Parts: sequence; C-alpha cells; structure tokens
Amino acid sequence: MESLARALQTLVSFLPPDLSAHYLLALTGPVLESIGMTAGAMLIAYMVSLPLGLYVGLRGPGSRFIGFVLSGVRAIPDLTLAILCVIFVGIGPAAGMIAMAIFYTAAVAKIFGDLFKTADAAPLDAIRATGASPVQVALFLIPLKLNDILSYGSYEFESAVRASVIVGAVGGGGLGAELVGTLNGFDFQRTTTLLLVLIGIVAAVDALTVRLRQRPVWLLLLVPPSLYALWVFQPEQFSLLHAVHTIGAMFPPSLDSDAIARLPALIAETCAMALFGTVLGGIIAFPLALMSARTIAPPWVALPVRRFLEALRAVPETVWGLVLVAIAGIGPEAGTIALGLHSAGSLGRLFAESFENVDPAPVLAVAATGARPVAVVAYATLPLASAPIGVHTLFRLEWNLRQATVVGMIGAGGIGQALFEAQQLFFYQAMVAYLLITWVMVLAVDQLSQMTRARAGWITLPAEEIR
Amino acid sequence: MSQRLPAMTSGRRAFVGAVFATAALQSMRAVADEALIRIGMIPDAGATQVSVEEKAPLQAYLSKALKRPVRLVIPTNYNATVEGLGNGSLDVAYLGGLTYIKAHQQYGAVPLVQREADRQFHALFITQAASSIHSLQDLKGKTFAFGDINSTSGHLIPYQDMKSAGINPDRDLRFRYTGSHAATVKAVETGAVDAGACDETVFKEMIASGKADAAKLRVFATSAPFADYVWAARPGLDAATQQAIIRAFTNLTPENDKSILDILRGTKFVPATDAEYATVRNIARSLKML
Amino acid sequence: MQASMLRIDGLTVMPHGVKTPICADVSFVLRPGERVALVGASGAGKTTLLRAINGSMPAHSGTVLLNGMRVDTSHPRSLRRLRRTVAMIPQKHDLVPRLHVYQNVMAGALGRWSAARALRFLLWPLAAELAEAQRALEQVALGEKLRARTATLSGGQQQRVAIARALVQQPSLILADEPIASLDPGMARQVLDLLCTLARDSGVALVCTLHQPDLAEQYFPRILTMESGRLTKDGPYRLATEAQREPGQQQDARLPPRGLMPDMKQALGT
Repeated sequence: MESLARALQTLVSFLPPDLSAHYLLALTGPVLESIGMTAGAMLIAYMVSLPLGLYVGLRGPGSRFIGFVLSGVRAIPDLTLAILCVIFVGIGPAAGMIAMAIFYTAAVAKIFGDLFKTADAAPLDAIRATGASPVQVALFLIPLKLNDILSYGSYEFESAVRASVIVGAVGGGGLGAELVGTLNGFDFQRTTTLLLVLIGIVAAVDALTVRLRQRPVWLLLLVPPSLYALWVFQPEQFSLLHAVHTIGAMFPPSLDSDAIARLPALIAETCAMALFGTVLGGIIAFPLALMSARTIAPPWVALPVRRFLEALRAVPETVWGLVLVAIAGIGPEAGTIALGLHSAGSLGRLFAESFENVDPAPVLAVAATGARPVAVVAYATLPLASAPIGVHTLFRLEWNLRQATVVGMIGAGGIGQALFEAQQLFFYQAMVAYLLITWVMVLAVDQLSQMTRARAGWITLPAEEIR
Repeated sequence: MSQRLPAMTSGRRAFVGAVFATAALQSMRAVADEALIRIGMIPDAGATQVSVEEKAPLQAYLSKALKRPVRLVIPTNYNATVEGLGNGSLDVAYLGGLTYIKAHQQYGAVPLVQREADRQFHALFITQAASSIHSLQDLKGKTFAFGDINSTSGHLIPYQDMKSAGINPDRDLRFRYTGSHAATVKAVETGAVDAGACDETVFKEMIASGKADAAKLRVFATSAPFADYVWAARPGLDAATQQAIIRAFTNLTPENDKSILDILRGTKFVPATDAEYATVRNIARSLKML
Repeated sequence: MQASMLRIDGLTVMPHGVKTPICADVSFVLRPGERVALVGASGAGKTTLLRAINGSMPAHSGTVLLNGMRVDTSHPRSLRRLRRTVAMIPQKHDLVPRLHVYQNVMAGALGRWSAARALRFLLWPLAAELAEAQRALEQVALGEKLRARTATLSGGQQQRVAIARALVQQPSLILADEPIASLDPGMARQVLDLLCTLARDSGVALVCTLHQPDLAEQYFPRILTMESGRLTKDGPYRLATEAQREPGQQQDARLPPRGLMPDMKQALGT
C-alpha cells in the first residue's frame, strides 16, 4: 500500500510537462536526430530489401537460406543490435542508424519476400512465357504487389520511428538518449514532454504515410533528405580492426557456474513477464476496444478512446519500461506493466477492428429482438469476434516474449537484465552467451506459435501486422 | 608477410585489403578532423540537452586552453563512454575509478588529471531523515539504490562495504541501478527507495544548490577513502595534447575559474597516475566486477 | 371493432445516396393473427419493407404504425420496446455460430431481460430458463439439440433454431424474410408448415416474404405482390383453401382501392 502511494506520488512528479520554449527549442536537435537516423536507416532497408525480397519471392537459388538468415537477424532484439553498434562505432546517431538499418533490412526483406511469394502465379507465368529475363519478371512483380509493399513498408517505417527511441536509449543518440537523461536526472516533467513529443511524431508519421499510400510518387521527395541524413549520420570513426578485435574478444561465449545455475529462474521470469504482460494488455484492451469500435460506441466516445489507444501504442514497451522502472522500481512488475501498456494499445486497436469487422447480420438479428445494446454485444458481437481476438492475442504473446528480454535490459529483470549487466560490466563473452540463449528462445517461440496457428487453422499474417 | 601472402585465399586477401583500405580512409579523415578534440563524460549526474548546455562554459574553456575546437559528449551510460575511448569516437574521457580501470585494461587508457579530492574520495550511504536506518546492518530487507552498475562510489565501494558489514546485497535487500548519482539522491529523497549510495561531491552540490532538500535526507554511513574519478586519454592521443589537457585542468584556480570548477564540482586539479587505483582494482576483482 | 396491428401508409424508403426508392408509396393494413405472404422477384423491395416495419431501416416518408405506435419516428429506447413485439426471422437465419443452441434461442428473450440477467444467462443459465428454451426447441422438433454448438447444425436445423428464437420472443407479429430460400424443397415445406401452424396456433400475425408464388398460394390466405418497390397486388390467390383462412378475415384483409384511403383511415380510427 505504502509503495503504491509512493508510486502515485512519483507519478504526480511527471506533471505538468515542461513545455517551456527553451526546452522545446533544445529538443529540436534530438528530434531531428531521431527522425534523421530513422530516415537514413529505412532508406538503406528499403533499397536492400526490395531486391532481396524479389530474389526470395522468385525462389532464386539459396533463397531458403537467405530467408533463414533474415529470420535469424530479425530475432535479435533491436536494443541488443544498438548496444553492439555503440561498441563498434561509438556513441551517437551513427550507431543507432546502423543498428536500425540491419534490423529493418532483415524485417522488411522478410515481409517483401513473403509478399512476392504469394503473388498470383498466372500473370507471372504469362510474362515468363514471353521469354522475359528474371530481372524483367522481378520488375513486373513490383506493380503487382505495390499496395502491399506500400502498406507494409509504411507500417515498418512507423515502427522504426518508435524503435529509434529505443536504440537511442543505449547511446544511439536522439530522443532516446535525452529520455534516459531526464530519467537519470529525475527530471520527470521533461520526461513527460518527451513522451508527448514521441506520441506527436508517431501520429504525424501515421498521418503522412496514409497520404503517401494514396500518392506513392511523393515518396521520391523523401529520398534526398534521407540521403542527406545518411551522409550526416555516417560513422565518424569506424575502425574495422577494432570491430574485428572486439568481436573476437566476445567468443567463445561462456557463463560461469553461478550464472548457469541462475539461468532457469531468469528464463522463467522473462516468460512470466511476457505472459502476464499479454494478459494485462488484453484486460485493459478489451473494454477500451469495445468503447472505440465505431459499430458499438457513439463517435464522441469512440474517437477519444481511439486516440488514447494510439498514444499507448506510440510509446514502445522499452520506453514505458524506462518510465516505470523509475516510478515503480526495478523488477518484473515494472516490465509486466510496461509490456501491458503497449500491448493494450496495439491489442485495443486490433480488438476494435475485430469488433467492427464481424458479420453484421447476426448482430442485427439479435438487435431486432429489442435487446439492450449490452446484450447485443454479449450475444452477437463478442462471440463473433472471439476467433480473431484469439489470433491477435497469441501473436502478441509471441511478440511480448521477444520484448520481455528487451524490457529486461533496462532493469526489469529476467534474462534481459542479466544480458545488459554482463554487457555493461564488459563481460562480453557472457553477454554473447545470454544473447544466444535469448535468440534461441525467440526462434523457438516463433516456430511454436506458427505450429499452433497451423494446427488451429488460424489465419497466418506476418507478426509485424500487430506490433 | 610477403612470403605468406601468396598462400592466402582470395577471400582472405580481399578481407585484408578491405582492412587496409578502411584504415587508409580512416587516417585521411582523421587528418581532416585533426583539429577537433572529442571529450566524453560519464553521465554521473545525468545526461540531457540541458545538462550539456550547462557544461558549455567548460567546453569553451577547454577549447580556449587547447587552442582547438572541443566537442563535449555525455553518453547515456558508463560503458558507452569507455567504448568511446576504445573505438576512437572519444579522445579524452572523464571516467570513474572502476571505468578507468576497465578502460585501462581493455584499451590502455592513459590517466591524465583529477581533482585533489578524487585521491581520497568517499561514497555516502543516504536515507530519509526520519527513516529507521542508522547502520549498514539496518539495510536488511530494505529497498536500495545504486547508481550506474559501473560506478565506483555508487556501486563498487558501497557493495564492498555492505559485504564487509555482513549484508549480502544480492540476497538481503532489493536494489536497483538508477543510472546516476543525482537519480539516486532523488530516489531516496522521494522515498522511491529506502536508502542509496552516491558520490559525495554530487550529494553536496545538490544540497548546496537546492536540487535536493537537506531536511529530508540523512547520511548514515561513509566509506573509507578510495581513488575515484579521473580524466583519461585514448592511448593514441599525442603526448603534447595530453600535456595540454593536464595543464588546462591544473591551471584552474578558484579565484579565476569558479564557474568551471563548479561544473566540475572541485577546487583543485592534480596529475593522476595508474598506481592510485591498485586498491580499487583489487576490490573489483574480488567482487567479480572485473 | 377489430384494431389494426400494423398499418402502413404511403411508406417510401430511400437511403442516402440512392436515386430511386427501394420501397415506394407502400400502404397496407394487417390485423392481429393475420398471415400474409409477400411475394415478388428478388430486388423488388420485400426485405427492405420488412426492415422498415421493425424499424431497422428508416422511412423517407410515410408512416408505419405498430400496435398504435409510430415505428418510423420512434426514439431508440421506445423503438426497442416496440421491437420486442416483432420477431424477425432473417433470410440466412443469422445465428451466432460459436454460441450454444440454447443461447441463440434465448436471445429472443433479451428484449424483456435486464442487462444483468442477459449476461448472467450466458455464463450461468438457470434450469427454468433452459426449460423455456427446451419447450421452444421442441416446438420446432429440435429438442435434442439444446446444448449443441450452433455451428454443428445443418442449414435447415439452424433455420428452425431461428424460428425457436422468434417463438421465445412471444411476439404479436413475426416477420420472416425468405425463410426457405436456402433449403431444399422438402425441407422448405416442413419449415413453412411449421411457421404457419405455429402462427395460427398462437394467434401471432405473420408476414413472410417468398419468391415462389405456388408455395405462397398453398400456405397463405392473403398475398401481397411487390414489383420494383411498389405494392401491385393484394388479395387471396385462387387456390388458397378455405381451411387455411380464418373466418371473416378475407374481407377485412383487402385494402380498398387507393382513392379510398382517406376514408379508410377515419373508419379505422387511427
């Protein structure tokens, strides 16, 4: 009880946000840095992943292996990549940009590959029959899947904007560095300012991508500033010798006997965080989703609730984690709540869509009996939406397991915290050992979830759909 | 070397070529940027845009004293500062005792200069004024704040003192890393934790400037003296620049440079040596932090 | 004098953005317990007319009076009260596949249940409530399916569950929208038999849209014909047998020629 009172007291110290002109002006630097490194990284990601995706999509020789590598890279938490890049190229946006470029090249190439694989075979065969070269066939594939490329591509961009704050938090510069600074300095009113700025940027990017999807040509306008960002944020100091030396010192991975003895408890803690975080997210998301479904709630309720869900979602788990570790102290509780808050945002939106997309006929039929709105929802909307809600929740659980390791790194316990402490104390061999364990865990859950979905006959969509 | 080269596979040769090409490019760029000196500081008192701005007079002073442009960087954690010296993105860094030892061991960082007080530094154990904690033994079952995991006065020394007092931090209490001394002081003041350990100069400065409330806080234990902070250079930095930096700091006087010394929370700077850190090094080894 | 239970006057339904009305100037009167077939080609506006009667489709002009209350201008709350007395059996039965049969059946009782009771029943059905569902299911010869998952039932069985749901509602009027459209001929007759018998035995009025005139003739004493949104014919078909007609109803069921409407309104004492 006492600790709750303290937590609430700390929460109050986050208000009001510092909106002074002086601070907002000082923030233009970090904001530009975050946006710049996102733009630069995503330019690389799109440029590399488009040909790569085409190659995998057309099932060129070795494309299975490429797919495997892409999945493997994607299973490395983005925060870990950023830490490694800081070690290799030094503090600042260069490290963050490289980390994001690697992660999102893998992520986007994987999605593009899957998209191109599902392209309608008939028109492709027709093109091949004309004697077109593989390159011509590939070029033909792009317009065929343009809509999907644009929507997934912009989706990944939005996700990258959020990730830029995460990689910033470990030395990648930009808003993330500033955020950690304000938290370490107990400067919580400015932390709130930063959260608001982040929510604002994500909303702006969201609005922009919606427009760009309608007019894809305008995308070309974004290339020069992205190139400029790439140039500005290129690593100042990159010594291959140093990198090779550092990587060499990280192998072979090793853990001492104490660490091995603690391992099962750490893994259990991470899994518990993921599980309870998903449950918490679902519990928060459910009523909010009902309130924000346009087919259920009146617009004056639905719209503000929808905005609230978007705000929850705009702040990544790690950032919620940083804030909560400051408020509630360390431990899996903070991590669980952090996962819960972000999950509530994403699940809320997806649940609401599930409610909106149910077959309207049974709903009308129940409403026609003169049933109260509550009864209509309980007897028709909910049971009709239960299958998609189940799929979304399972995906979220899978995603949260990955994020539980990342949230752990900022002090929320579990294997993530062990990894981060090993890294911070320069025990890089132990760090790599923890990294490999995490990586295997994530890959295993990926596989498990795919198998479960296949057995249940549930629709399969890429995990990115629901981040 | 010339005899072994033909035996190399083409892949290996390409790799070596790439290394040399990169090295050549690096040296070219280094020449272009030679004028700039990059100085990093561990975020012992937080790292924000505003805290960087607050240190602008220091940057201006160093720039003037070295007759070269200086860029001041405050990374988000101690580890990144050390790695900065290793990968060459920093020329000089302000490090804590433990971080210096690591930078020296890993990358051969050279100790340059430190405050007089750093040779006989103290860690403070603090709690709320009205709390029931009066000795290290009272910490049993309480919540506790360390600073950064690599902090000497915020983690290593207090950890050692607790162990000597018969308290095992890993079992007997719930602790967290706040990331900086300022955060530890605030965490104790607001009651987010029952007690914490921090750097004495940060604590005094926060009380003096009103950033922390003296009426709410109480020091209940002080560590034995040990060697802490030091300004260190990456091994490749030329001797002349190293000497210039030492001079820039030792020339500071309370009469002429009060604003700079306030930022550095010191009164007098003296040259530093590696020998001072033998004790801290042994403690770090015994606690498996090295 | 016998009151009209449903009275439609000059009803035109024209949703936003539609140029020609789906229902145009439709007028007719239905008396308690009367059974009427509404026939016409698909797209003639039959379903829309049914929806306008239960208030789920707003009227553009004209009036719909149900038991003396205006449907077309009702507030949502009073509309809900009105709807309790009108059971709709939709074209594709429109049950919720994941629910148990008894839950779908008792959805018919939601109009008279409190929200709390409705939610409690989903999780914790009482024996008396299950007995009510059982009785309704026995009336449609599905007594053994009480606890089955709705999705496991055949199309004809699901249609009968929808009828049971309508019975539980204890309506004074049943609107059945093409109840046999998706059924094979044998099943279609069974369902029509069931509907008409149940309606007659419990004295509930029935409006049933059909597109097979022969079946309409066989089962319904009165037939309304719709063509592109207008009511073009109103009267018993030749083949309709005396047995299927209630005495005296034949005369009243007929609407006077259009020109006489104003007088008729007065006569019925609206």
